[in-house]
Amino acid sequence: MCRALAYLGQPLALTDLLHRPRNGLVAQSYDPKQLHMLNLAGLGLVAWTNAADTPLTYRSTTVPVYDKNLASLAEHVQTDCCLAHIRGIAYRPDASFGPHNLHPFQHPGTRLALAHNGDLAGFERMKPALAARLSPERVLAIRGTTDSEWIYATLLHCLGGRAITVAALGDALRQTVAVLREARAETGIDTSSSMNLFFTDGQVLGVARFTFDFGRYALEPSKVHEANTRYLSLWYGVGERFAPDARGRWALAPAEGRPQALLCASEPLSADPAGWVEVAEYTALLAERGPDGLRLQTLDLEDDHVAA
Amino acid sequence: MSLLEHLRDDDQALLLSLQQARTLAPGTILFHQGAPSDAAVFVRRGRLALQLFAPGQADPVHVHNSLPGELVGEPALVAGGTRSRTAVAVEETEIGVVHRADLKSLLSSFHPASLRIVLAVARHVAGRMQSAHVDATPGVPVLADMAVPATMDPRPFLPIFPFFRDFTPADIESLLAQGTLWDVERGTRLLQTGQRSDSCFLVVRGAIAVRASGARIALIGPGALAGEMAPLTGRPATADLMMRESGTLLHLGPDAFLALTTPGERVAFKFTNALATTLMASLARTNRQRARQAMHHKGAP
Repeated sequence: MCRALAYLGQPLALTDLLHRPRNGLVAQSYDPKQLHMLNLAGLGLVAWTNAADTPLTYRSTTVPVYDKNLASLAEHVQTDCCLAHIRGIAYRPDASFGPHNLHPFQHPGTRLALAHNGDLAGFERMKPALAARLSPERVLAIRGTTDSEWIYATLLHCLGGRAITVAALGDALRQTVAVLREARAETGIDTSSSMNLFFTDGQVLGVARFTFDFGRYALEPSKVHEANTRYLSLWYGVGERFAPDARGRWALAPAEGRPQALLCASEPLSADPAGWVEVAEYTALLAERGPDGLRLQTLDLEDDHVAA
Repeated sequence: MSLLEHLRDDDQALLLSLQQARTLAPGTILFHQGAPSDAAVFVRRGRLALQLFAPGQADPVHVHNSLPGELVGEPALVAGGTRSRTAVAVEETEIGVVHRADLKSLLSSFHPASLRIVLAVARHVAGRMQSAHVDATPGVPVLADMAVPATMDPRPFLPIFPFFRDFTPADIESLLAQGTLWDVERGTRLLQTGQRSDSCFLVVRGAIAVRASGARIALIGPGALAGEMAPLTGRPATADLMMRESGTLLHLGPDAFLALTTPGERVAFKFTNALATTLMASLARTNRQRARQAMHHKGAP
């Protein structure tokens, strides 16, 4: 069911996110702590280095823990903004395995990259309704077969020609939820569909923890998976820098003033969750660099205010 | 109120007979916040300081001094997980350690005291989580007016949920026989702040939002209990329960709730243990929410 992380802050070695912490992203491919599914279908990442305008991009369907190229690269690359994803797919020969389906997605002509942890139920059925709501160029840019890349295309469509800011991304995110909800309603889909998103352009970073129709799993026992009955996790920490503490646990060291670093992940990178906080359900967290540190903002994506 | 005060004298004696004695020198860290938890600690002499390290903050917050007669870390008697506080001996302190494994042994042999001890832990934790005082209000929603008899058969799905990990098919049948299944629409208010209640709901499908002071404080999904705190503590509900997504609920009325939390049928031992485990998860969630609030005070979102 995929695991992802997003980092914005002081430069650090990629391996500090992927390999060194006890529950780093690579360890989550074979031993995830908060969802009992292996994530063996490959790793992808984008990482901004040395103030370069375009990020380093890496994608491989090699099982991450055995990927020596990745290990070597991660030791030497310093990044101040990174988005990485390991892919978990159904254990079936016909599952959509392949490099074209690795996250994060970054279509030509845009700086924004996105990774997704989750699953839109009945997506093949809903695809025409979604396509009808997107501009043709956004649909044509889609290369893979995943629901995730369509969510990415929808976010880009909703962002339009606006500059990437916290405000613009927050607005586009709300529109994306609305567009997907319309397409689901038109197609008669009302089963649980999780959509935890991680996105960044190297300067602005956002995550969203969202599930449509939470708890309404498919009424066929063979199709019900743990991920359809639990609200998928998404954690974050803020502080000065991400480094081992006095007890050797990787954590965000406290910041004196404004936070200098933000790390978001499907599950904490430390062995225990102390020092990490969960993003609330139906909520997005957005951050951008300011002159004295990161400026963070939460965004309510909930749709039950009338009912309340 | 101490956990021990929830227990009969013979159950107290049994629990304390499980303890293993240990003496801590001043300054000894008994356990760290975030460390795996597998035992509760009875303070026999001296003093333990409990400290909270909030994410993003350098200094710990002093939460509480545990004095002789208190039990520390009692959620560990019921469920695993991690310590929510760091415990430090302020002076030379004599403690008794009660391991969850020993209580589990009693529970798996259906020892009546084990159910009462687990229920006492649940009541104690529910009392702490329900610490806000709310005046009782009249008006009890009648479920039959808001819901229709369920159309789905829950039997193929219940074993998927962790709540039913220890349940046999016969236990599940016994539980279903004691409750009533309802289909409930999104937006239905199931319980109102201030209402007295002696029943609870198990979410079979769909989700319930728990709301207090206009804000959602929890989301309860399939295979989890909702509304169990009011009957456990006997106090009015401190939050509203709203159906967040349409679905199916198993309503356990007053007679069923009492039977399922009293030593008797085997299913009562399984239900009480699962209920207590659910509450410990709620406590952990509440602690995480407090951590988030502590970060808010520091300027983080």
